[in-house]
Amino acid sequence: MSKAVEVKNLKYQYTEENLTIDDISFSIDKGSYTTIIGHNGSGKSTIAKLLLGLLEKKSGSIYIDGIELNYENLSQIRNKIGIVFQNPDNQFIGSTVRDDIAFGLENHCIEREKMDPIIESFASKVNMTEFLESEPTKLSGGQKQRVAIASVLAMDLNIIVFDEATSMLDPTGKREINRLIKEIHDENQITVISITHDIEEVAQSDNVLVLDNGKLAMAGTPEKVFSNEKVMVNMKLDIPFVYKLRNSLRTKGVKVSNTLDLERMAEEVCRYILKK
Amino acid sequence: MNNITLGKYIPLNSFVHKLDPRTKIIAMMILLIAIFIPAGFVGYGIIGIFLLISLISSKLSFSFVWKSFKPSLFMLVFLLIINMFIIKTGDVWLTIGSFNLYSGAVIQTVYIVLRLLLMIVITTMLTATTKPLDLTMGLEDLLSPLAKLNVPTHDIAMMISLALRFIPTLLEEAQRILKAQASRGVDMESGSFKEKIQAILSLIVPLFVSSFQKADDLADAMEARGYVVGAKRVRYKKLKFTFFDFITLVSVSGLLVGLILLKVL
Amino acid sequence: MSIHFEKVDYIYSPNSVFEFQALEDVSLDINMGKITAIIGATGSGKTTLVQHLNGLLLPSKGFLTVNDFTIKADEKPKNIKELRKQVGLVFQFAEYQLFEETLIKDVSFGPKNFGVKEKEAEMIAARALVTVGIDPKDFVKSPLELSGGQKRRVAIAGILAMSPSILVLDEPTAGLDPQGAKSMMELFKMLNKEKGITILIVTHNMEHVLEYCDEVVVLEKGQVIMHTDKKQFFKNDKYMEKASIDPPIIIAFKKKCEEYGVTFDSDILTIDNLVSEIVKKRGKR
Repeated sequence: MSKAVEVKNLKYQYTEENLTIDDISFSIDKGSYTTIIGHNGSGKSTIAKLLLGLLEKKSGSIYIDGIELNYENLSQIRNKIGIVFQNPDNQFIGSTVRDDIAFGLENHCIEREKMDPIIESFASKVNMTEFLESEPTKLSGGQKQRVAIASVLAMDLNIIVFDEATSMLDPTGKREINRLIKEIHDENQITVISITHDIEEVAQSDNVLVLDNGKLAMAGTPEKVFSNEKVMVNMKLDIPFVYKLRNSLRTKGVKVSNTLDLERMAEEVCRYILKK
Repeated sequence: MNNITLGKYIPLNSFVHKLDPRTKIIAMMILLIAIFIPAGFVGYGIIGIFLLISLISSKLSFSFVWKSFKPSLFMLVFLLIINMFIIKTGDVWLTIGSFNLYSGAVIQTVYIVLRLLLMIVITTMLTATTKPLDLTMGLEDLLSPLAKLNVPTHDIAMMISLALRFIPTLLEEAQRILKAQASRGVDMESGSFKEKIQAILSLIVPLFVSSFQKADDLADAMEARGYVVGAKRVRYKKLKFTFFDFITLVSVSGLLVGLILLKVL
Repeated sequence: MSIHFEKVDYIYSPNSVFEFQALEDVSLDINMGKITAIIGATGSGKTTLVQHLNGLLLPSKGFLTVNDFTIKADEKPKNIKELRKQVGLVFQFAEYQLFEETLIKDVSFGPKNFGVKEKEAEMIAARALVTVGIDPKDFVKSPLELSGGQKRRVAIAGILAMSPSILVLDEPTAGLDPQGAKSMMELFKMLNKEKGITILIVTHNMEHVLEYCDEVVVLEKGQVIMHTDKKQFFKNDKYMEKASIDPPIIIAFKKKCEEYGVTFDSDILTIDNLVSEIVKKRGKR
């Protein structure tokens, strides 16, 4: 069983001086939920674009679903992996929701007669059926991102990269989209690669890749990453509440487990107080 | 901004609105040719009646069409005055002192006015009853034979559709930038020439930067969804000729032939 | 110095198909010298409200007074430029307004519009840039060379250069990473504590409201439904539930503890206080 994504010794150079991506290697299992974190400028978006073949690597190799990515087979690669960008407006191509979802289908040369049922089915999946004829200026950020997700799903891709897809949305929009991403991961076994700043999302993912100045500082489960004080402090990463609480309690001699779950933590703290 | 009526699409549900955009483009071309056939006032009268019927069936209001015509009025009056002094053919109709007003001058000017009026009515009807995107599609289809000569008709049509899609977005952005700069003390109305230039720059530069960023992001999004310039694609939207398109084209052609005959006979 | 709204209505595109009432009967007094958060769902009227403060919008009905200025329907205040000097308004994604070739030139733009001569404007600009944390060696860089967060700081410097006594910010941390968002809020805290600037922040971030703001104004469908101090606001979980607002995590945590039989005082709003209280409660048993 091949991996969804495999990256070996990847290097990319944007400016003359530094390597934006400096010898990175990692792999991503099919059906997993991987988050990529790191400060702004660490290379997160660059990796996303390299995986989609939107940027040309300097050296190293990238395999998408077992196929090596190179200039000749970009169309093939784009049949396997898709991306939802950060700015809801700048990736809305069609003049209406319907036209936007159709755009990808047009490029993949789907038969015209088959397009309508596909468009309507995915619009329904993201709850945008009543907005099919709407123009982008009449939609909220969250709604536009839902359309972006529908457009990618409609192309029948199994690997989707989310490049800070919720950072420009209001809390309602963020919630909608996070819920939707979780749904398509759980129900459709889509391999999710999410570049994010949302520490709670990271806590719920299967794997975390931590980038620092173009290098892979660390890769592992959320628990492993959050317990690595050096990484967390050096990179000034946002620390989940439960971890801050746990560390603070430890300084007072109170021991609680490594749980990342708010409910469990509350339970343990209360047990401690009530001496149960 | 909201008072520009020339070129604006009016969403209604009329016979003309429902015609195929290709039909309307072709009909417009034929009618424009017809206008230039010198068949005298009778000819213009026939065209006028035809257009009147079309206008009624398009459900557009007369005041709307008049608004489209109004900007040209000033120029026409100016033209009339010039012609009165220059054209000296025909009989003399009026004499004021040493100035003679010739019939030729009056008739020529009236012809020009009539032609202009008819042209404006025709083009306004086209743009008012056809969504810009449908117009683009119609043009793309009609020009597709040119693709065989390596003219990138599809790419041009794609560019036009994208521009149309982003016009409202860019307008909103311009509004925002204006407000932001007003908050920094920019006053578009007063100030020295140099200050006014700075004020305009403070609007245009951010708008340009933003547009380039959008174009960049858009290109990435399009590529990621499999778009390749020049590659084969299937077009989702389809234009279909109906019986009504057929009769429209037949009647317009009939009109042209009729006018030619009128002129010849 | 004062900000007072008196029964203000605002209607977009009156008498047209697009008519929309964004503000209804808004009466409000903002306390000077404090940091006030303005919260509410998208479309509740927050942006419309703040754009009245520097006269970008005029009320459809009612009036407001800001310092010595009165802003009412159909009558742009005389000397509106002076108002815009006293009330600095920073838009959402403010980095989009940068346009000059260098940072120092862009920040000087504001003062120059108010008649300040070039040399002096540059000095003022330099001070403002330092205040927002830009290194002097970067003053001659082009805005295009900076990151999003840095550009936003430059845009804020552009407003600070006009020495406003009231600073209004529309979602200043939108789209920033947590670190960037935190340092932005620290900047506002400093401006408030050290320079006494009255600050109004339109925000969705409840953690920031908890940590940095003194008072909270809540808008719903164009009406002001609440104006309280921060502690009072966070005691009201009925409202937060109804409005589907995610409360700050510490408050969610305290709520969960209640389910397990432990109640913490509503004044406990930081981790340090929480931990002390946990140890104290155990000690008591």
